[in-house]
Amino acid sequence: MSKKMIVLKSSEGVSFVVEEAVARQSKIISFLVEEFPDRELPLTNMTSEILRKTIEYCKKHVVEDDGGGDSSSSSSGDLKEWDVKFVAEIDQPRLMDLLMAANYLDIPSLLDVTCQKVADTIAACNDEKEIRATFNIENDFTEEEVEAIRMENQYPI
Amino acid sequence: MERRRDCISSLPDEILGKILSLLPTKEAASTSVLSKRWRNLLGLVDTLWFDVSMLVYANLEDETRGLGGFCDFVDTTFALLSKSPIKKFSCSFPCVYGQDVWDRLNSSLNRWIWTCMERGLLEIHFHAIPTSVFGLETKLLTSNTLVKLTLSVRCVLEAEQVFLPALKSLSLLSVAFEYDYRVRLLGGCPALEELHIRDGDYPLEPLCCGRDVYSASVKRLVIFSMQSKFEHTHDIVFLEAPSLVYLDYSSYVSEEYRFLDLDLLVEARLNIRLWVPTNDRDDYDDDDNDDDDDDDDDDDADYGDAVDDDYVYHFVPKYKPKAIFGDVKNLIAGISNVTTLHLSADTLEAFHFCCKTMPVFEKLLNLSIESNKEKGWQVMPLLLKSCPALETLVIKGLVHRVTNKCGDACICKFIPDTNNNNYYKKKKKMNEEQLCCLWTCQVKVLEILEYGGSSQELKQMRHFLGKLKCLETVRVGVGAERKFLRANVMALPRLSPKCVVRFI
Repeated sequence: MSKKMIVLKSSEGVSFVVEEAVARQSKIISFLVEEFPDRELPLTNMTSEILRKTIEYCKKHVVEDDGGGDSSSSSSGDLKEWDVKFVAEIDQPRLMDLLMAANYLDIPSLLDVTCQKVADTIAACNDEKEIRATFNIENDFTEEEVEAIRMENQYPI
Repeated sequence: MERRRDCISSLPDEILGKILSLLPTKEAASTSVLSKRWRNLLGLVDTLWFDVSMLVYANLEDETRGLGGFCDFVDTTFALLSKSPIKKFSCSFPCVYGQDVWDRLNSSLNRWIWTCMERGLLEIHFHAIPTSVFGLETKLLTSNTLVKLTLSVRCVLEAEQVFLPALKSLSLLSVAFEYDYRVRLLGGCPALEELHIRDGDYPLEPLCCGRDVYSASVKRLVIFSMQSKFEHTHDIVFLEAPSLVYLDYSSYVSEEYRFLDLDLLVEARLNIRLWVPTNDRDDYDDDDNDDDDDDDDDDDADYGDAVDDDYVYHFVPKYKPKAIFGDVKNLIAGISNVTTLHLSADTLEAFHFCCKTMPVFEKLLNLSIESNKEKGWQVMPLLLKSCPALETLVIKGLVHRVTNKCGDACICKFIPDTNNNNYYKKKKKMNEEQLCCLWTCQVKVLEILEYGGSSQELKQMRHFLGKLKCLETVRVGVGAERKFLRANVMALPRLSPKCVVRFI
């Protein structure tokens, strides 16, 4: 039985041929495939690079879902390790793109790992200055406003 | 050129709320100074996570002020959340000395949990240092939504009734619940599927939740009860769980076990530790080798110093090891329905020393064992004979303590030993050539992990490949890239014509 393939097209117009089972991890694609079978799906707000990454993630995770335990597919522990490595290798701007792609395509597990990585990055910062620098956040508060908010949030230790 | 745009602030609110929910609440709150976009995001979190367990105060005054401020902070945070649902509440308390502040913490805790419950709480994690005893009130223990509860504290259950109809997962980590509380708690969780019990982290807490577990619904049970003191409290362990599918059990050996109603059990992972080391055990005191006693004493001379210490310490006139405490016969009989079994190196010894008759594992397909250079494989011949349907054997590490009883399954007998009687070795070898447990073993897949390639290990591989006639696949896990080691294994003669050797 040959596997059913679908075509995903990036914002640059590059086509990616993907097994349907792989792409269906996106709830949006899953819905679109049912509504518009045999059509290529244009993903105009995703670059080829991010789409490639997203597909890589889905490919890795589809094995686990339909493995049925007969082959030596990766265990959930291995998969978690793979996820950690997967997001660790991505630089911060691309991570944000990937997070937004996961959100847009509605891939809950990819959204979880990317959000976790962002949270870990925030947690690793020593203070708010470092967080702002890491994520290029512009401080639009005055000194006094910052001080007032800080007083609200602190508890004595 | 690095892109210099602020992507994170343009994420939708619910995503930022999700990210902040993954941070300790104090850190999530501190992001409100980043920019105006971040000013009021804390109210979007669905998880509250407070950890003050590392706080140490110089005096009671500081403690009162510090923990009082903490209570205020938590109250403020709750106020910010308006009416949004709370999925998870996690709280870790430090050691508390002052009675007043303790009272405040305890009543605040119950109030917070109550508030969370009203908002459809799914998950609670509560941890405290076990010098303080926290009382959990009735409200905590009646919830139609709570799915997961983790308690890691000395708790007193003040609830008259426990009813957690949605609870799927319960973890009791160093919880010193007394028997009645445990029965009440488990009795109030009719849908419980996962139970995790951990004891023994605090050596002065003798109470063990893992000693008696009754649950009609639990499917996965993990008990880690490594309490190395109080041998006398390890008199009997009860387990009755008719729905249990997976059991992971780690403990020192008990005098007796009652493992009942485990018909659905598919997989068991055992780590049963003996109370005394067995390195000083004589391996020749076997029924057919009684006349060998003199030789044993000579053997002992090799490590005479250690033995002498024992003489002095135990005031035993002639060295004779004390009987090994514990009997795992009923434990093994209780789990003998499994298809997958994992045994630690300690468990191999417990099976050997604490089980007079080995039941037959009729359905066992996958057996995995771990080796340790301090622990012997004496039980392996009997174990392999007791697994008639075995298909996959996984051995993590081939190096084990050389004993003279495991010769059947391994190559211990070929190792030149200073005082061993050659005649016996030859006689034994001849017997085993005829009776070796490996000849009848049906194993198709053999997986050797952490293969180091020493000559002893290579001989062991030769033994397996030359005696297991049904082998189809051999997987060898080698650490680094070591080609010579592969070549040595590949060159070994294989009894089974179908046998394929692969390296992983």
